[in-house]
Amino acid sequence: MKQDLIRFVLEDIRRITALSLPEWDPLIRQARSANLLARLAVLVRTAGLLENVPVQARRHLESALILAHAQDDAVRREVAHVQRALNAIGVTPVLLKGAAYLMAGLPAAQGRLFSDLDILVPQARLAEVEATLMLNGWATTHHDPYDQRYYRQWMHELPPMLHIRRMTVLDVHHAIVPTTADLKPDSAALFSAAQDLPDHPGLRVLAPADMVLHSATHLFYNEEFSHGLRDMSDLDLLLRHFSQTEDFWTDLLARSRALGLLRPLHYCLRYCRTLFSTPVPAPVLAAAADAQGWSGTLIHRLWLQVLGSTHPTARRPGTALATLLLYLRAHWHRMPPALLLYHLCMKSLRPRPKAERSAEA
Amino acid sequence: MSSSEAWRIADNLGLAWQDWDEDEVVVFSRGLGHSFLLSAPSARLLGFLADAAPHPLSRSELADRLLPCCAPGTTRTEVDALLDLALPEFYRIGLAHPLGAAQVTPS
Amino acid sequence: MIVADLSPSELQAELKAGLYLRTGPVVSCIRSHSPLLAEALALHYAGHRIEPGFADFHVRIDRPANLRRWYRPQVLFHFDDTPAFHPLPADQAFPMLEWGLNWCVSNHCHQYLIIHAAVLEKHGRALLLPAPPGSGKSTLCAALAHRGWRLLSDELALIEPASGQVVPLPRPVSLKNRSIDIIRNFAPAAVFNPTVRDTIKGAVAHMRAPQDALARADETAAPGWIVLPQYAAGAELSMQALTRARGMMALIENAFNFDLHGSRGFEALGRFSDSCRCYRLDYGTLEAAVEACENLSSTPS
Repeated sequence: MKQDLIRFVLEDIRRITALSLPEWDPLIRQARSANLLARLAVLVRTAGLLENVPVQARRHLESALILAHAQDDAVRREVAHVQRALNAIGVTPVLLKGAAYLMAGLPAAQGRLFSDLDILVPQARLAEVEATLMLNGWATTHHDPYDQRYYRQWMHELPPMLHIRRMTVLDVHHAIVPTTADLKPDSAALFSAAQDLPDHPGLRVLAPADMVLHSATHLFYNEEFSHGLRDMSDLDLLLRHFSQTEDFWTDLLARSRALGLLRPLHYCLRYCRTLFSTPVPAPVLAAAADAQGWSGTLIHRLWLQVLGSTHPTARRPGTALATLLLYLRAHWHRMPPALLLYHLCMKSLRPRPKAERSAEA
Repeated sequence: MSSSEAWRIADNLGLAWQDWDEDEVVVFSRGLGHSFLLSAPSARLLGFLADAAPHPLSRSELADRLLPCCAPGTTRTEVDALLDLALPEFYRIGLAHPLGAAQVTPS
Repeated sequence: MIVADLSPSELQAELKAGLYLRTGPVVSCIRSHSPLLAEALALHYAGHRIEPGFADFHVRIDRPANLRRWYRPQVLFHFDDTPAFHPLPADQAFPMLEWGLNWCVSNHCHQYLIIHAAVLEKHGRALLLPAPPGSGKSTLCAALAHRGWRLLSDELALIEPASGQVVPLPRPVSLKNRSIDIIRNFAPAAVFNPTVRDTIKGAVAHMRAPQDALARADETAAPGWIVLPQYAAGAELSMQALTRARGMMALIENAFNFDLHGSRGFEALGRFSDSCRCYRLDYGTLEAAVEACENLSSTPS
């Protein structure tokens, strides 16, 4: 029987104790394909359950733990390089996503494998930031003039920068959604609420509510969902952690209204509850839903289709169609229709690049 | 290079050593994520810089400390020649830097 | 049950459904419709156990879904249903499986320190031959495997960081170009499958792992010798002692995943090298090299 085992055990990690060895086989495959093997491993270890895992499966968890540990070291090193370069021109980068979770010591960093570093800098300093990064060994990628224009005119980030010696990739953002998108959260508000990291002077991260809203917006308004389940798991861990603080839910709702991000918040809360039983208070869920009077049953079904494990051992029929429809929807929200048509034509007419970046942050 | 020129070990190297009392030593930097095969005297030199951290050591201090560790009969000139080779190499691979020069960010 | 227990048609059927093949510490579920691959598996993996239930890796070798079914047919290696490499001509199905299985181990078994090296064993101690391609590592490995050394692997030394033991991964030995005939002459008893020509590595043939390598696949080996082989036509034999530091550096430089193990990996390889004697071996004839290795194993450390 096909079963979304990875979602099932992430919902409650103690469930692994009831799994038979033949069930560990598809679980490990699903976890690996969703980029969640290391997270599974860390959660099992943290719960003190490694000894309950059959030895054949435990080897894969141990392998993933070593990988995750090494990656944390590598990210810390890379963050130090970026920080040194930018602090020298008086810019304090705001770390985003994985690097932020790691440096802020959040549970969402646990076993989160990612390849690229993402930072947010003020748009006014963007040219200087790019120049100083280039002096320090980062080079721009995407040399095609169309790509350059695509990023610089319409996107919320520079074309990805590649460090020529370390071969690491840095994404420099000046906003959290594309310039052309219909959502327009105010970047200045994000910067003014950003928080210092007591253990890492010279670095900042988004405020808790903003961190959740950014992660949700990134997932639900992007055209790429191959890490959908991983991103949902991040959101689940962020919400569980931050909601230990009083007023978090109130702040989150207020902030989402102020930034115009109520809809991604609604999706985030709703699917976290559905997938991982995240303890979202019912009034909060209702407030996020009611305010927009939204009733997209179709969209709802599409999301549930693509957010689970997409591995063949768990995949339900119709996932490919749902992915396509949500891809088109994401583009629709990212660009006005005329621009979208132009962009899609350009994409389909141009030869595809040989080596595409495989792992998105 | 003047003998007053001061050298300092790079920050956050997290050094580990594998020394079998042979002519060569393997040094690993957790911070850089790299291993290096150093001649025994070069490894000594790096050890002096690491022990002195965060303070720098001048070239003449380094030579003074290295000389007694070398084979009997080694001259000061030979030790100076060794410093001429080893220190720029440390700088190139990101292990140490002369005071005033920016710390390199090695690959 | 072992592969040899299956008739050719049973093996083909099993391969279509998924053959759970054990090699050393790893069980791979292999699926393919290629009769050529079934034949090669029957030859090389005859003595390997079949263990259904849990697979470390699910791989599939089949024709890509395109129009080249009859015109220069190709095969594609899938790792868990995702294509992992560029397609190759269909007659290269078996070499592709071998490269693919090595890739699975070196990319996913980080519980080991994995060194790109041939490993053999004598008196319970491991001889590691870490070396880049072209050094004659595989040829020497194949020769030693027929002269009293037990084959652990021709490609991947799996070192358990905590114990320093080398874990066997006995699989066919991959030989290239002139090495194929050299080993045929050196060890007439060696079993080969037909040579596949025009691969990216030139002509490739696989030599079946000797029986004792399979029979003792659960027996690990303690560190013994690190030997850096260098073949050159007409070279004088020379077995020159190296510092342990240099031996350790050779392991680090040839490691697939040393960077992942950090300080603990450094300490583990330090302990490993501490228990080894290290040499550089220059040789011009296989006989001389084999004899030199034999002398190593008989000299007490």
